[in-house]
Amino acid sequence: MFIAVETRSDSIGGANFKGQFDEYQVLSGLGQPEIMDGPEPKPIPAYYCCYLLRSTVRHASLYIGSTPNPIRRLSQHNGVAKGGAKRTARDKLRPWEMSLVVEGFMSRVGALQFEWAWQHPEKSRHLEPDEQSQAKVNIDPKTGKPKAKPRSRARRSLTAHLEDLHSLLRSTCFSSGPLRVRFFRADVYRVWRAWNDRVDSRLPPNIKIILDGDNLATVPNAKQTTELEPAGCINNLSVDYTRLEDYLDKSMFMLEDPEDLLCTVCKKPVAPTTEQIVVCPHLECRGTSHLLCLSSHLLDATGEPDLLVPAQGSCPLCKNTVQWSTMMRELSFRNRAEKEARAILRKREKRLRKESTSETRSVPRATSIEPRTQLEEPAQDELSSNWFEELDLESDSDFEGRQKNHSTRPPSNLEIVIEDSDWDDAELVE
Amino acid sequence: MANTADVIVFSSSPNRPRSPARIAPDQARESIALLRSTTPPPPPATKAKPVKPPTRSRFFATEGGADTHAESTNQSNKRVTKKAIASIGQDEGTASKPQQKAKRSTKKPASTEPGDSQAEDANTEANAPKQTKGRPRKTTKNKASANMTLAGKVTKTSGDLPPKTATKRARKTTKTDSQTLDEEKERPALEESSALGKDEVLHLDEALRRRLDWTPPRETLCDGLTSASDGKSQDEGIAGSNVTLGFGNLLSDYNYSGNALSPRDLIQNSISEAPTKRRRIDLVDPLVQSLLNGKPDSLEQTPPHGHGVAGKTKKTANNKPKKFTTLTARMTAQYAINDGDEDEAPVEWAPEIKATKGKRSKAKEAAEDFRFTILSPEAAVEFVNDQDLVFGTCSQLEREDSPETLQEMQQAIRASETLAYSEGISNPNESSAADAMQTPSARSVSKLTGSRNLWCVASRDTEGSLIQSTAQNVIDLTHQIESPLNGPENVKPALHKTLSDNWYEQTFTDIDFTPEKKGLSATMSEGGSTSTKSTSTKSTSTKSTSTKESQASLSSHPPAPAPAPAGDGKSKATKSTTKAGSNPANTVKDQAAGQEAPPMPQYNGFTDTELSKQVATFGFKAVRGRKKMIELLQQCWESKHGNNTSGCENIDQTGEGKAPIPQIPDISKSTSVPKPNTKAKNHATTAVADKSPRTKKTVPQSRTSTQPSPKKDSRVQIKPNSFIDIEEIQDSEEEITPSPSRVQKYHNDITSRNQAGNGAAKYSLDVLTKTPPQSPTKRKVVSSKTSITKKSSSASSTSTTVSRTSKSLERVCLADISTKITKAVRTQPRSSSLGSRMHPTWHEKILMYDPIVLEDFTAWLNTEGLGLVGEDLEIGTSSVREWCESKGICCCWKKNASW
Repeated sequence: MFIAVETRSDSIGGANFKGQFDEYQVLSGLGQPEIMDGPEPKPIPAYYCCYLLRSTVRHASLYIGSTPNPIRRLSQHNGVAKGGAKRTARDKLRPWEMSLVVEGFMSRVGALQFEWAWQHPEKSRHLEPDEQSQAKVNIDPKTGKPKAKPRSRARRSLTAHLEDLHSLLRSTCFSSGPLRVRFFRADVYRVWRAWNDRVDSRLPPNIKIILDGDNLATVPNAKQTTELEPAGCINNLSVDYTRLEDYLDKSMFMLEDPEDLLCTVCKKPVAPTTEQIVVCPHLECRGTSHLLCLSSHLLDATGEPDLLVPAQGSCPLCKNTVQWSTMMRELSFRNRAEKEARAILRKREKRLRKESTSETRSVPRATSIEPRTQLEEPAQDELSSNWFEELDLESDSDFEGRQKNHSTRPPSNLEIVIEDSDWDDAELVE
Repeated sequence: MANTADVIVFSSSPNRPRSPARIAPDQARESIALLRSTTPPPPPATKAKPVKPPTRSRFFATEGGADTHAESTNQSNKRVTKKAIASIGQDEGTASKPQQKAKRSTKKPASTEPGDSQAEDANTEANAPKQTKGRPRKTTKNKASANMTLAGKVTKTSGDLPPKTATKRARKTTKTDSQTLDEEKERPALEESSALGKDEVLHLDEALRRRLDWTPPRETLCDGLTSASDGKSQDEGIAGSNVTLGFGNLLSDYNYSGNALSPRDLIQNSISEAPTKRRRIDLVDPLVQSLLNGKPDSLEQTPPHGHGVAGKTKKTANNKPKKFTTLTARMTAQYAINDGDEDEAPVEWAPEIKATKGKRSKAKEAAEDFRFTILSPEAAVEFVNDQDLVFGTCSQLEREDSPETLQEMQQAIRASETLAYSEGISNPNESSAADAMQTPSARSVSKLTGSRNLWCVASRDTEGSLIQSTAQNVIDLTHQIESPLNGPENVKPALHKTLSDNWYEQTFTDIDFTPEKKGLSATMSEGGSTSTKSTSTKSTSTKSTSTKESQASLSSHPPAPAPAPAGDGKSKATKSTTKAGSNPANTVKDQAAGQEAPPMPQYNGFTDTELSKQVATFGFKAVRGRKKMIELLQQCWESKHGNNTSGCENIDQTGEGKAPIPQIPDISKSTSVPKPNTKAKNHATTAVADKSPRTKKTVPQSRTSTQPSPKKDSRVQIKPNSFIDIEEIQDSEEEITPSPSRVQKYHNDITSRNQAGNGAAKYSLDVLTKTPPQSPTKRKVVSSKTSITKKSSSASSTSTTVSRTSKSLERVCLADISTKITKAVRTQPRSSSLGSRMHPTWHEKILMYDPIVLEDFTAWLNTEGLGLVGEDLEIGTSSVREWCESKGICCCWKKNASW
């Protein structure tokens, strides 16, 4: 588990930061306990994805779900953990695999909406505008089945799902989001490619296609460190905020003492406790700016007056390209989940300390690979290790009240039964 | 002899009546046809009757009383004979039956054999006197039956007959063929012998059983004719005979018969003769085609065709039911009259029909005399253009169901669905319905009021602001101009001028002239009801045409239909002309005067903010409610300018703004007031523009005013010219190429524009600058969404696809709103006091990818947000959601916000 951390620290250039971390710890002890409760919205989830689950036994059996934690969710589907969807409970069809995931959702709501739309293409408003384009390609040459809108809700083919996915990603609602499609199975990707060739319109450029899993010649050995990089397998996905810890660490450290900080745009002092202050994600850059200042700055740069959320831009200070979604994730996490942010930082610090000690012992860095999630498990602080899961307790629930037992979920940390968004009406083919 | 032969045939036939009957028909047909043609109507009927009795027809109750008598008397015998005796024997018996059982028995032996014919003949002869004694009808029927039978026999025994048959038979057959009157005389006797037919009646039971499922044709014609025809029709073989009769008619029909075309005739024909329905349709077609072809003169030619198709039977001439059974009949009625007038020549063509036609044609001619004035080709063309033809199902003919209205309805529905605030918007359907509801007479007043309110409501934007009709017009005009130019139509520039002159005259005739119109209409449609109907139909047709035009994006009608902009100018001119005495110069003056007096702004077209500004300019406090503001503004304007302008105009304006104008002329005036602008616009734009303006103007005020005006105009024009209204068939699909009429209209518009003068042009310019182009069709419904409509219109050269336009409209609306929302979101001031962390602005929330709670966001927009942008609109959550989704912003309802 530490290996990943180490690599990360390496990439950061840990030496410089060690001292800072110490300071940070101290400061964190003094930290303002000002945490917004109640109306305060949840932070942007570290990870949320919609996935296309496929039975490895029977490839025609497909399932669409969404989860903030595909690793856990997959184990649930496979019966390893409790809480799998009914539809995937059949032993014959197990084990399941996540043939692809659509990740990068900035809110649980968005993910659930996407999931629902994907599950119900015939009902989704988001797919309506694509109907025309679909009409052109009315008949799927492979299946030979007409693609008329009134599709039966019966089981649909992989191609159909991919078509819907394609349309969804092109829809106005989702095309502008920072979504990524990660293909874990080569054959699925092949179908996707075929469909891409057939469809007239292309995906918007901001939607990235990531080849992962057996699409890769060489399976990456380590944990995924950036969003866009292939993880090799589901288990290597980084699905928590630890990805942000360095960024978080930097920003929190900087904002602890905001007196010197000026907004890079409006040149006015920033007040992190009351204002939304964005910090440049580049670790060497000390740029801070008001949320609205930076956004307007970036939006003006785009030259699109109608745009409300920039996809990316260049930091006014370091001129490096910054991803808006990354900054917002960090910002929301820092502002809205301060406790958790501090917990992560503490963990990180511990880790770093261990590293340093181990380094002094000349212990080889990468000895074992452990799933990322375990990083959190050694609960070191008052913060329960499952805080995030609690946050996401409902995360797998269905869209629009389809979930059955919202309240009945046991809140216990040990057995987290997460209701998946079961595609109830869909039928598994046997 | 023929009778005997007939009898035999039938007797054999009862079991298998068809074969003989079939054969027989040929001859029978000939004979009948000949008889009819040669003989005056009554005789043919008698002859025809005889045909019926032969086989089945007799069995049926439909046959004349003679048959029934024979049946009643003979039935018992017949039954017995039928049952007991073999078919052949029965047949013979049947032949003799009418007279006596004994005869039958005697005859039976001979029946099948050719030799029988003689015996039969004798019998028939003997019978003949008896029958003659009986009712004439019977005799006729009998004759017919005899004829039929003869034919059948001949065919059957053809080989045998010539040699064997007695001279009578041969004579009869030959004679019948020759159709000499003498033969006819003889025939009665033979027919009388048709007692055989009675014998046939004996088979009634079987026949009845057989035919239980069969529905005999209805007896519509005069007893004699009808019965004969019915009988024929009933029997398959006989049917052939009917056909023959029909054929005679058919031929005549195809010829131009001046009489027939009247709707009544059509109806009668339909009743009496099977093929009629088709014919009706056919009638229309040539006219339409001619219109389409753009031949002004075609009208004259076409009408005859139509009449000919209708085929005038004497009966039709005699019986002219005054009811129109179908809408089509009503619709066609107007034209029918005209046709009749024009048809005179064609009548001659069909000699057969002459007798019936002659009377009619004379009467028509008389009527025509005053109506008919030879128009110059241009004028004729204009007339043609002005004529509106409506074809369609009843529902379609009813105003509401026209394709346009349907489209509008759909659009409206969509809009209402999409826009949460649709509540405020009244259903365009209702308005349209109201329009349709209004009868022609009542229309002008009631329509104005009712529709107006609806339109006022409907004219609002998705945002709730009124669409500016003026602006819309401009765009359309350009578009229209292009289309006409491009259009293959033969547009003759020179014609335009002439047409325009003519047009003025026509238009200048007042609406008040209705008496003339009525007279014309009355002449056209004989029944007073028909006149009203025709007017109504005209109005409807005009409306429909306008819709068509709008759809096509080509505006043909300069004067009438174009509601506010185009129509106004023309109507104004017309009014002024009427007042002045129908002098073009006067009209010009009037127009000029109108221009001088500032036309009252169409406040309905103003947005709320503009209205509020206007109110402020008048020194009033801000008034809540668009309507109130408009009324207030109108009052202010009137007080300010009203006196200056000609009184009528002022009145009109007020009327427009507030209440429906009871008087048609007032309406026209009112329309005229705004018109100058519209006119100028129209002129600038092509004829297409004119139509579009109408639709655009359909905005409450303009619409009300405009509608009446178009009616008037159309009427007036039509009357003086005495042209038959040729209506184009409106299809749901728009014509890609402008119809000639439209082109002409366009030209007219141009000319009128020129006349209107510079002032109007200025107005138009203003309007142009202000208003974006709108699609004509959508305007009515979507009038509120001017920008959208404009876009759609510009985008789609021909507004073929309604759905597209509607979608585009919606999009446009949404675009408008969304830009405002975006603006509002971005201009929201940062919360200074508590800081953005505690109270993030909406933009901050959006920036942070927070799911936007639609209810809250909408509430903010409606309370604050849009106010920041200077918009005073109420937005629904649905539109807000659309906005969010279009921006890729995650939004959700409050209940789901906890996710």
